[in-house]
Amino acid sequence: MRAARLVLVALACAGCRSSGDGASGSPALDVAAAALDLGEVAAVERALEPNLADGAPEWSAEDRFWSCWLLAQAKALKALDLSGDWQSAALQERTALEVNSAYFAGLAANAALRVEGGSHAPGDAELSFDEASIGLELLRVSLLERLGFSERAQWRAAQIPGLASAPEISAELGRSGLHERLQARVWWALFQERSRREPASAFPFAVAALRAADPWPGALDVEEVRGVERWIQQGAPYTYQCPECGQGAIPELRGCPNDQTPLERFVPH
Amino acid sequence: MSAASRAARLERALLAAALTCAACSSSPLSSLGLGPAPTKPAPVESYPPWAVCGPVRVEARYYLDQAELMGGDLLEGYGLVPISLRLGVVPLAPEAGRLAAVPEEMSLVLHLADGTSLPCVSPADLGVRRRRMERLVREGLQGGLLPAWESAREGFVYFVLPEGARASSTELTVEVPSPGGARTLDLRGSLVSLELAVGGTRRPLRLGIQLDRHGRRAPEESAP
Repeated sequence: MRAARLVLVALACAGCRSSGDGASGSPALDVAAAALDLGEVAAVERALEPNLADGAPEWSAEDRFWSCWLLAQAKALKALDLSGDWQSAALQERTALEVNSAYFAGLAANAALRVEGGSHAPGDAELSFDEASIGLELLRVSLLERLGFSERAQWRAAQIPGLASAPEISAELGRSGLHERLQARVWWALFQERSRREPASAFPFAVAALRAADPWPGALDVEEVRGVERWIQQGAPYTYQCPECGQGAIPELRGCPNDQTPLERFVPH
Repeated sequence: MSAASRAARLERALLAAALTCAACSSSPLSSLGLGPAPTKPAPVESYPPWAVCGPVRVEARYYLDQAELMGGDLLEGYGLVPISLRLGVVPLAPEAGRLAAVPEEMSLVLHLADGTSLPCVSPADLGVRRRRMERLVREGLQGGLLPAWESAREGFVYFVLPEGARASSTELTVEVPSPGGARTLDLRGSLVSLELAVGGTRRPLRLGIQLDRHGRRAPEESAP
């Protein structure tokens, strides 16, 4: 099934390159959306980047928003592929990709100002423009935090409505269409912001970051994971205990060693 | 046909050409053989022009009057982006007085707004005339022990544009090759990345650039 989809993506990308009609982005967007789902970043770039070059036929605000939304995610995913490599060259390349992602996220945000609403994501009729816009802003927060601009990230996070609690954020992220592999970075950024601003309420964000990263090796750097775990055990304003047996949190286990109560249910003591 | 009529006819022809070309993807100026019209860059968010790593503070500036400062427009004339860096330490930090920074060891890179990486180059490797090279060296960032922030002096590092790139000092834009052709970027959205050894560990820092004007320099700072 996956192989068949890859063949379809490749054929469609070839068709997009050879097409002289750039007035509508829909075919290229559909291809790119499918490619992003598969994690085929190069296919997303091939389908969309040439259409954003200087002098390329102008797409509608909706198409421009969706194309930049897809590219921002693609570049961020490409940066994640360099996780764990601490050589200078890899760090520079990763920074370049994160800046690239932020660039397309910014273009998407600019295009969003001209979208009149009612638009839905390419290849996903259930994902609305409004929901994707929230995901885009969360991605921008995560990129700012990742690049070290914590105050700016904090400011930007404060501009996003309806993100007071971890359950609210979880619901928004679930609806946002943001690639799952990027969601750990969002939680990590929000944890960083919350642990600085309101440490007493940061525990759910810490656990969410760990949970979001667990299925995706490299979604967070090893040091970032260790940092969150260390905060839970030593840096938090409270100690967290199992509500059933009182066992103190061992975050590396993600739950109670005695009765498997998940870490999310641990309570402050 | 009178000169006025010929002028009017030419004007009508130019207008018709411009209107026709506006309906297609090509630039009206390019169709008239006058070169492509400058493309306005997409508005970008600029990054904070300072960063802190432990006791070390770094600031970056791009001087709008760099042509006067350097005796020539480095951006348009040489494809160089001169960025002024100022590095210093908080005076009361215990490590103050023992921290050092050497430009050649800082892994300096300038990322344009879209992430295009510009490497840092030494003036000696530019192949420019000796007098120009000496000027760039004289204005360059000097390595050594980091001073207290209040007494830290700025120095320039130079980043080279990629092959095929064009810059405009008046527009503060850089046009770089990109998939599909070219991409025009606002220099204000650029990011400096570097590494500093602090506490025995090399740590990455990133900061944006502040636009500024250097103005006239004090006599004691002028070139000999």
